[in-house]
Amino acid sequence: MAWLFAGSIGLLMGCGTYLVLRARGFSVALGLMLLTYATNLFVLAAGGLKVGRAPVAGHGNPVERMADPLPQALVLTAVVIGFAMTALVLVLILRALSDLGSERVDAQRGGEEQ
Amino acid sequence: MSLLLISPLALPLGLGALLIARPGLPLDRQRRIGLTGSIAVLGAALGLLAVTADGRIAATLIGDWPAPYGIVLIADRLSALLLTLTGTLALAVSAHLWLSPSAADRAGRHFHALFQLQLFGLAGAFLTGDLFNLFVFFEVLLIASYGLLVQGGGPARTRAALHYVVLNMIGSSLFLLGVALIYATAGTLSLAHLPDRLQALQPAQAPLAGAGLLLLGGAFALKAALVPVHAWLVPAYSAAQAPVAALFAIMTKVGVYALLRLFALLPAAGSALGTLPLQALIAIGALLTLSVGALGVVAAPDLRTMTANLVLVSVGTLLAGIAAGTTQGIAAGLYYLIHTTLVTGGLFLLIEAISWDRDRGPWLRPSPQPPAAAWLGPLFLGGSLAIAGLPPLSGFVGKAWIMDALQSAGRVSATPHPGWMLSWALLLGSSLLVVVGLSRAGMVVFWQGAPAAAPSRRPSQLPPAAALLAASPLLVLLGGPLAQYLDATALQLRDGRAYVAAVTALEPIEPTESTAPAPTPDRADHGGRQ
Repeated sequence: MAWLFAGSIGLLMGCGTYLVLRARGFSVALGLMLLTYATNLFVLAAGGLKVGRAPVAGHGNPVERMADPLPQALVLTAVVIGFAMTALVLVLILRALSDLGSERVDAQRGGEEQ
Repeated sequence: MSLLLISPLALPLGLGALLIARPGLPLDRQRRIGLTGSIAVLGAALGLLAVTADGRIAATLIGDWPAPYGIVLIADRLSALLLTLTGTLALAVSAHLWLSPSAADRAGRHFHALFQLQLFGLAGAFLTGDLFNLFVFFEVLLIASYGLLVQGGGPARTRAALHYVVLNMIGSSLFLLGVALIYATAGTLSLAHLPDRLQALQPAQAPLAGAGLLLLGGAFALKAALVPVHAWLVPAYSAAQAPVAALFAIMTKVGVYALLRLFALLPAAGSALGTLPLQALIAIGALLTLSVGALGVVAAPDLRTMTANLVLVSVGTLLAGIAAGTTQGIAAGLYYLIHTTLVTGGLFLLIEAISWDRDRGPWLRPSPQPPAAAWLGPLFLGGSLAIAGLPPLSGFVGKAWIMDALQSAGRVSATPHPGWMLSWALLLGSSLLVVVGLSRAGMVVFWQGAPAAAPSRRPSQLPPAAALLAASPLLVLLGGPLAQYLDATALQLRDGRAYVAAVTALEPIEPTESTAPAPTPDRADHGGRQ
């Protein structure tokens, strides 16, 4: 399972990097999303890959059989932040599309006010 | 004491929420609320400065989970110092908005709300005691800064903001990857708990923890705008409105602060990093940054771009001192940090005033009508002297101190160091370039074209800018006590034992019940997993 997990993270990270480097608005947004997904999965894996363990002790789940709850809490925060940032980037790209008249992130038109 | 730690977070957050909930408030009242928030942060910061001045460390538990698992707010001398700096700058910017008839906060409805949230993020980043909350507060201050940056609209701002957001999102991903690697190997993210855990790493896990620390170093270098990850700074700072740019003067310093905390972990991380000299890498980056910034100052087509490049030069200069790793180097770097934050903030505000009075705005081309206000010229001269590092102002003292520190570090230290002579050459060369650039700007702006008959149209916006620039002679006059304080700050940071002791001594108010033990994950199982 570790190999599958690591492979998926690597694949997501690679695709994300490729898309971000394409420097077109939509690709960059998509690439940033993939990078965020990969990072979140990575944070989740920091607590160890365990199957069938609850993050809460008690209620019939002994402490030695619990999963590490901290990375799960961390990843929850990171997911929320990543979601908000993705929305912000999409808005900015749309704004750039109307302000600069191009989808490229390094569009020049009107960039210099003289 | 816990009230002092919580109020710089709670008050801006509450005022920001209030401003978002009541978007229809008249601008006058919004400005007054903004000023209140800044004064509150400065007041709490001064309180913390007084509490921590004798070497004590103020710490409190949020949510009452026992340390080191709970959320800790903690202020040592370094945190209190940077929080005071933030409060001072925020107060000057709020006063500028309040006094000036400018329209910086008129274009967007949520300017003051974003301003308060930015203060919340800054205060949180300086007061938090663990790496994950540092990430969260970084995001808070970044999100607020994205909003502030695009205030006023226009293609140049949109473009700069897009680049800034994309680069910082990639930086945040790096930050999180580093945090995950460190948690996976060391099993904690608390800054007080990490030194112990890093020392006790198993050999198989040490390289992973080292990779995590390096990723953190990369992310912090991006926030501090070190070459080669500096490209976002100049477009963003020169596109932002003047009060926003002045507040942003503290933002690169958050990156510097995070790097300082990271450096404080390094002695414990010997096994993790092996022989890799992280500090020397940062030192090389710092020297490159100040060279690139100095070239940018000479090449700048307008005053704002020039000041943005001055921010780059100053980040490079102060990190060159801090990355020397000695107590003297850190103290000198901190002195320069205080100086440069206040002076560049003042310059951004001053340049707004100069641009208003000129037909050609901030552009460095002869204008038929040079600025008429009697105070603009002397203030620009004073600010230039201070930022270029000429005597008798604080830039000179700071640079001389940094160069002295580099020389003694180069003589004593056994670690690889790019060589103090090279650092001296670059520091002095960059100062020369900055002097040339600023002299050219001053001559074009003030001496070319016929003097105007009409008096300045907007006299009232100068006091905050003048107050920030006046910090420079004040820093020289108070040099002795300040130097002692900064030496003590650097010693406390490098020692680190008091910081750890302050956190471990924290007791929850309610004792944890014996039937429900605190959720301490089984680290033995965790550590032996790989």
